[in-house]
Amino acid sequence: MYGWRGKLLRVNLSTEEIIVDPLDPKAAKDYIGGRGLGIYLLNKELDPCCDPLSPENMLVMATGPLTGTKAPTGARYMVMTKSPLTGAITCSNSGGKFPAAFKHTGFDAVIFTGKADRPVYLFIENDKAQLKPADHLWGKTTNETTDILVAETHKKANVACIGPAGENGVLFASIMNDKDRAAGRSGVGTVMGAKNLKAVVVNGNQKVPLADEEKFKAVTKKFGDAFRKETKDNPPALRLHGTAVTVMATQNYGVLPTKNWQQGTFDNWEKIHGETLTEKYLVSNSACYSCPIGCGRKTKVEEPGFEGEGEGPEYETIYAMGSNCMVDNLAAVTKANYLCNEYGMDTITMGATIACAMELYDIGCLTKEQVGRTLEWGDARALVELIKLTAFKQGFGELLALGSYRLAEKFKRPELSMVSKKQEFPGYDPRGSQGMGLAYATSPIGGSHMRGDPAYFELLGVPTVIDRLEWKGKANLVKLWQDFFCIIDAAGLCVFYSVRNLGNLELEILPTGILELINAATGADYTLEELTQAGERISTAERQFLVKAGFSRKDDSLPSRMTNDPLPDGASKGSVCHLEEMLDDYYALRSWSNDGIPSPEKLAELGLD
Amino acid sequence: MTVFPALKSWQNWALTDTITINLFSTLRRYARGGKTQVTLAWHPAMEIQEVLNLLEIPETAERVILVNGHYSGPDKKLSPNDIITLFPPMTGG
Repeated sequence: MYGWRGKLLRVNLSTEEIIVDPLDPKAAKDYIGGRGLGIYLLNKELDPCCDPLSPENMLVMATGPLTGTKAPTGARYMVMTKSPLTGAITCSNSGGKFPAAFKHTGFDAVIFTGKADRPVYLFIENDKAQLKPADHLWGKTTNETTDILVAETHKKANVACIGPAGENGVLFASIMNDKDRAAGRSGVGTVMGAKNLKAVVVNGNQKVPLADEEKFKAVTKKFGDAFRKETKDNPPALRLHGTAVTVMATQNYGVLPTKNWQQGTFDNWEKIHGETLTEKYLVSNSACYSCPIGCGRKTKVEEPGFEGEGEGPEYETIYAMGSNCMVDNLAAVTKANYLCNEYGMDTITMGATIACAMELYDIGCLTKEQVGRTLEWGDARALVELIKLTAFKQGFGELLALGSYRLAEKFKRPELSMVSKKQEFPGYDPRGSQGMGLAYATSPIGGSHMRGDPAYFELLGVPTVIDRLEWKGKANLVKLWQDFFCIIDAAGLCVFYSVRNLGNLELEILPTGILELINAATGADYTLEELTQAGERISTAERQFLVKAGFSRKDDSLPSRMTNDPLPDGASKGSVCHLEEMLDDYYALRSWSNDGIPSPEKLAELGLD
Repeated sequence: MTVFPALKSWQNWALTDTITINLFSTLRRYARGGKTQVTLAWHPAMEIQEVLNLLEIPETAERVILVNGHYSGPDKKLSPNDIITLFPPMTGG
């Protein structure tokens, strides 16, 4: 096979048996790889009703056919398992250098099942894999773990690992790779911790074989030249200021979640804006493997009490820990980000959970005694202190470690948790961005912006801006963009680059550029229709898993604050999200029943029956 | 208030009413005197395109235009006290 390595590594942690399976060529073509390969394997081999933290759960780390190639942004991998936070699937994506290095060991994916009887890590080196003891790593931060593992394996090794949060069962633990890149969402690190799997270490030097080297080189050059020309005089905003530059857009649109989503604007937004980050804390930008953008932020903070060095924060972290908690201290937000990275926790859920706790405290549902301290809006020191307590599940941290939904439910106010499927939203208020509301509600992982991001066309101008307050017509676009994102995630590419540079740049988006790259790499001779349909197949296969796990329309929901309480301020003042109307359209377009169940005809059409 | 030469003919009746322009990211280069917030005198026939021309923002510089938080085209007619936000299209999040 070309593009694909044709090999799956299977690791049974209970028996310590490691075997290599061939990758079925038909499955590879139908599901592409990465996210598609992950759901193909989960649907085939995992009981959707299993306990996510039991040995029965499986965890897949999958690359795509373009991961580890010189395709622009061919740097991504996907972690898929059943989520302990949501009970649905995860598809938690990360870049950096680890995914390409993984692919260069000779495998497309690794599949973990069972549970080790003591802490272990997996070392993969050019076609060979072995489990090694990790007792000496248990309790270590992700930075410490990475340094130790590089020292004891190979100086060029790349590491993906969990921190104390994953070991301790925090429900939103992440898997950190290359120290600062995160497969952050839905508790993928919690599943690793439950399996006593501390890390995966890779060292490989096998180039990805390509079907047509010359063609691939020519196509890659074409996109590279076009990007260089386009950005010569207009460097990408992401390179200059990182994703944090989004703060000015959401603030101006009135959709910057503030005070646990009670407001859409934050008075002190300029203090936490991306341009402020650049001015005060940026050391340099950084890029993932084969990425021409370089949106990563290497930062350093020297303010007393918040000192540190690392990467971040991204926009989502700034919203969750900044405006949403009314913290206008960017040093504190950056420090909070560093701590989450070191302990291995999702910054969005962490920040959103603290914001929810702040509201519970504000209305008197939580007392100073229960929290162990005061918890006023905007308390930067509380933000930082509570993160450590959460990672180690100490004191009030034990409740925060459950995420905002379970926290709010415990105090009989679940409606104060801003989630879909118990996963916290990213930073775009759907009352002022209607398509975003539908995307949150129908995302297979719960609240997420990375499953077809309508903010691009409702707020950020890619490919254009359409009426963000209109709900009619959004269902079709959300469906198309969700399926397009499936193709990006399955191919092993980055959304940030692919949406603008590897599609047709139309609202009715098509994977024209990905088609050229993927055909040159794999020789699979996809037609545009076949590739587009593969995106729909992945979306529908993910829905199949959710349906079998008991999910239906009732779970494609938003909190009542989004659908009933008009935004009180800013440029979206007076607006609510029209979810139910959009859901009807959406299900019809997907050929799902009114309860959100895919029809037998649609399943047959996609080969999923 | 910054009043550019091209606007001087309007000064007699435009000085009391203004519009504000906020420039972000790559469009900051079009700010005058290092100021990313620019205040201009308003006049009744004023459209966004005139503002873009005054700031010498070329057609080739991609931009998203907001007026009071709502997306607008360059032919949008402006009102006193309007706040215009200009930033480049971007992916991210």
